[in-house]
Amino acid sequence: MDISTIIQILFNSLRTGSIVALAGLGIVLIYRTSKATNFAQGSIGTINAFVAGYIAHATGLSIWTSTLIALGTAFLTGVIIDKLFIRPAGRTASPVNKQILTLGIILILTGIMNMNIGILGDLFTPRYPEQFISSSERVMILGRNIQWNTIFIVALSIFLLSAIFLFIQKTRWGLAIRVTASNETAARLMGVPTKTVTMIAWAVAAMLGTIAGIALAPRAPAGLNPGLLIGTQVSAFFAAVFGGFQSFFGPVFAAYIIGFLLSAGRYGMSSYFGQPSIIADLIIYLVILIILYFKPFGIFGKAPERKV
Amino acid sequence: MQTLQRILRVLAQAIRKIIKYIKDRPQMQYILLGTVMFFIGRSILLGDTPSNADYFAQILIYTIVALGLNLLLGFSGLVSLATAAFMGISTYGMHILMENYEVNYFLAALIVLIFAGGLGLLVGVLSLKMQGIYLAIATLFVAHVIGELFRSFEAFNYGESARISEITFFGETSLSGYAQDDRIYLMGIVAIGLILAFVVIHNIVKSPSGRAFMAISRSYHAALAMGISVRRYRLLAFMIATIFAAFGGILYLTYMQSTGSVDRNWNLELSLILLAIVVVGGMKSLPGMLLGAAIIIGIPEFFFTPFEEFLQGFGPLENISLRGFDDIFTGLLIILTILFYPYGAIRIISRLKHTVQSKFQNKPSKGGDAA
Repeated sequence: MDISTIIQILFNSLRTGSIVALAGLGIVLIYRTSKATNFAQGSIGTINAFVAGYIAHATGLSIWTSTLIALGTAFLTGVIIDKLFIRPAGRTASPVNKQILTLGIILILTGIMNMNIGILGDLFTPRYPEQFISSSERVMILGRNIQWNTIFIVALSIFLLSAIFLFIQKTRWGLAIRVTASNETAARLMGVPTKTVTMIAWAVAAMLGTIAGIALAPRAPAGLNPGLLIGTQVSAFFAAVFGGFQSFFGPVFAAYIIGFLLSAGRYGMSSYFGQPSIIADLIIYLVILIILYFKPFGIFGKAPERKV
Repeated sequence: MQTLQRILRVLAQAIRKIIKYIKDRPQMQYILLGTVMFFIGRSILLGDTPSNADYFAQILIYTIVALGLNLLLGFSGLVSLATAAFMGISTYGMHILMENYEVNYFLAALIVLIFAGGLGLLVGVLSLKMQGIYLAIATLFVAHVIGELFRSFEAFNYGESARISEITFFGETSLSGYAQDDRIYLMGIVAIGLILAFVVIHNIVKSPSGRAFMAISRSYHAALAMGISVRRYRLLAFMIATIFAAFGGILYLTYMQSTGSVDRNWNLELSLILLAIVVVGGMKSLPGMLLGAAIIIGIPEFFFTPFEEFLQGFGPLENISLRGFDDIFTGLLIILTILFYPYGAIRIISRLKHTVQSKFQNKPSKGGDAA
């Protein structure tokens, strides 16, 4: 194995890890603020990635502009879902019921993506959107051609993730998020607008999922399709559990670890053993499950207190 | 005239006695229910549109799977997203065992059930140590990996559906899905499976384990304080749910004589639909599962398609398609049930029963309890 292969694997894993981290941070944000495991994260991202792909295809706008428009629709999607479905469930709904609500949202979004009425049929046609930077723009790094697009996606993700961390740690609204995450009732009594915080968490999560979808779609095997983010979502959930749902940083760190393990494992499995790359996924996730068996709250998490 | 009255009185008494006999024996009710279902299926098969029988068989099979899932979701408050994947494992497993290794039908079914139970045990042991919500994450991963594995290997026909020619019982009787008469027998097998599933789940729910499940579903902490090993019972519930899913898969293969495909049948969507059956039918209710399956599978299949054809009859709507509406319908039903009617559709029936009874007995209506 020469240095250029290592570079290739490294950049692949950074790309995968970035996409997983974006989706995973959205899941953790929602889990911390509204106590719901959001299984619809992938579907929300996919449906808005479709919007970006369609706008770029139909109006000839660049993928940058269409992404900005899709981020707007993603914001709306998040707000609508929170207003219509999550808030009416209220604080009294059990975590399982909220989980089931997000599963119902998956079905609704899948149904919308399958619809074929008027513009919708055209909107949700599988297609390959353009990359942010054309794949012909490459740079030579230690004997390997790396696409500028890959570097851009990694840089964008790291920028977004750091911006969100700074926002959470340094600003008043970030404090509101942290307070809501730690104890919603107390936060509300202290005058924190928890409803707005929850709504913004959903909107931001939807936007993060959308960026993940748009970044993934050009090189996904089937392009934009309703199942685009399923694999990413599985990794994102594992990252969230592995890093610990109780911290914001842990899941992001775990996402890059999982991204690296997956890229290296898949490469090794297909080039050294000649087996389908899914076997590598299977082994890696099984190992993570076994680690979680001994550290049930993740590598950075701590056990939550239980009150009767 | 008097003789007629006497005959009527004797008849009424006999009917009352039979009703009382059945009421006292829940097993008899399930057998009756299964028989009625079989005759409905038979009349669809012998009617004008025998192709509808496939959907009817699906309703019965999904009811069986939902019965197992109900124990997991309704009684122990856990969500599994791999139900469809476990059904897929059992159809492909049966196919491989019967076609490639020429194993006897019943032996193959037994192997598949044990395998599914073992897999459920493995996944459960690894994920149930953590909080309850983590099972959903682990099963999401299991479903994803199983789907990809099916697509990657030739033994599973790369995830495409594979047909079996016929099913041979006891070495001589063979049933083929192509023959009209045989399909009636196959429907009978599905109905027997339904009765079996109902009776088994009924006995589990009424046993000491069932009371433990009930305690866990009411209050996790109280159950823990009473000395119930919540983790062990959750594991048991998950294993039973996977075994029931595998049983449903076996019946699917038996009736459809095809393994079904990973992309069209054994996907996340079906797992969610099965969840919807449990939620909409009414968690913790057994007859609710049949009602839920009839609503979730029946209404889209039997009403949406004719409605689409009806709409296409109008000039400007010629090319209209209602694709996707079935999922939106199911998703909305899940959300509305959770938000506004947590006891599910079966509650409507039990309330109706109470209203009717109180009308006849002139007692004030108290409203029904959840069945």
